[in-house]
Amino acid sequence: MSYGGLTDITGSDALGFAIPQQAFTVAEFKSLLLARYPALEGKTFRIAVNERFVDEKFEIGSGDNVALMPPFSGG
Amino acid sequence: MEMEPNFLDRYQRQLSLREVGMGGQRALRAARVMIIGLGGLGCPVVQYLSAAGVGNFVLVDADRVSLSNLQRQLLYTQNDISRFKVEVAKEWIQKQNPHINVEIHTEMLSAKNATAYLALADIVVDCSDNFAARYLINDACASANKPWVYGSIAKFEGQVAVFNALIKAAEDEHQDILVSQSSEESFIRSLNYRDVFPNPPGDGEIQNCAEAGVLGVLAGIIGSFQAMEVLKWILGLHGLLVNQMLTYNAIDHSMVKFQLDSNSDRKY
Repeated sequence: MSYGGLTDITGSDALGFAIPQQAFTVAEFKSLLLARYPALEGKTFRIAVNERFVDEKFEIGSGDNVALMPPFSGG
Repeated sequence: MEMEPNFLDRYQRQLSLREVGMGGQRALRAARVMIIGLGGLGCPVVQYLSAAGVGNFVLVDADRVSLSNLQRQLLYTQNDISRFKVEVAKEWIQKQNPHINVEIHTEMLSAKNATAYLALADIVVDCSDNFAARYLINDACASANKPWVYGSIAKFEGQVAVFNALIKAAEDEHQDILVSQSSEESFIRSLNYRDVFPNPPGDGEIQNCAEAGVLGVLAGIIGSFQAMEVLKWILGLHGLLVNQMLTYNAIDHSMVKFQLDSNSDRKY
C-alpha cells in the first residue's frame, strides 16, 4: 500500500511484489522498489510491515502487508 | 476554577456519560489547550473543544483570513477577510460561551518564544500546515514535557497521533494504556514525531494544501479526530492514539492504526 503523494509516483495505492528469496530485508525491498519506481529516490517515507513501522533490517515474509508512508504537511 | 452558570443545562448531554460526569466536566473547565494554527484543522478543534467546555485556550496564528480560506475554515465569514484569525476565533468562542478564557498570539511559535508559550498550556494541538512548525512543536513539547496532538492532511488522506503524552508503561503493548496527568512517577512519555519521521523532508518535496488541493470536509474530519483525542486526554479515557499513528482515507473510509517503535537515533 502506498499513501499520500507517493501514490502519484506508484500510480496505485495497492502494489504487488513477489518475494524473491528467504530473509528478504526491508533494505532489499527498498532497492527493488526504487528499481521499479525511480522517482521514489530521495523521497521521505517510512516502511511499515503488517501495520508496524520497521527498520531496514526487518525481514519481510510472503503474504506480509507492506505500506509506504510519507509525512503529510497540510493543515 | 469555578463552573460557569447553568453548566448543568449546557453540558447535560455529556454530563450523562459515565466517562464525563461532573469530574470530567470540571477537568475540561480547568484545562488549558494551546492550538497552533487556526486553519482547516484548527477551526473544528476550536469549535468542538469550546462547545465541550474547555475553559482556557491559547490560540497561536500569525495569519489573516483570506477568501480562499472560507472553503474549509468554517469559523470565518466574508466579513472577516484581512482580520487576524485568532481575533475572529476568540470572538466566536466568547459568543458561544462568554465564560471561556482565551489568550491570543499573532506571533507564530518560534524557537525564541516556544518555552514561554508552552508554559501556558497543558496540551498542545498541532494544526499547522508546514514541517518547520511541526518539528518545532515536537521538539519544544519534548523539552517542556508537554503532550501534543498531531494532525495533518494530504489530498483525501489524513494522519493523527498523540505524541509525548505521559503514559503508564504497559506490560503488554496491546493492553489498554492508562493515561494520567497527575504523577510523573512510574509513567513514561509516549513516542513522538521524530520516532516516525526522524528528519523533515526536503523543501518542496511534500505538497501542502495550497499546492495539492483539499476538500474542506477532510480537514473537518481530521480536526474532529484531533479534538476527540484532546477530550480523551483531558478526561483520562482509554484508547488514546499513543505509540500509534492513525491514517484515514476519505475516498474508501479506510483507517489503519500503525504501531510505532522508538527511534534510538532521534536527535533534538
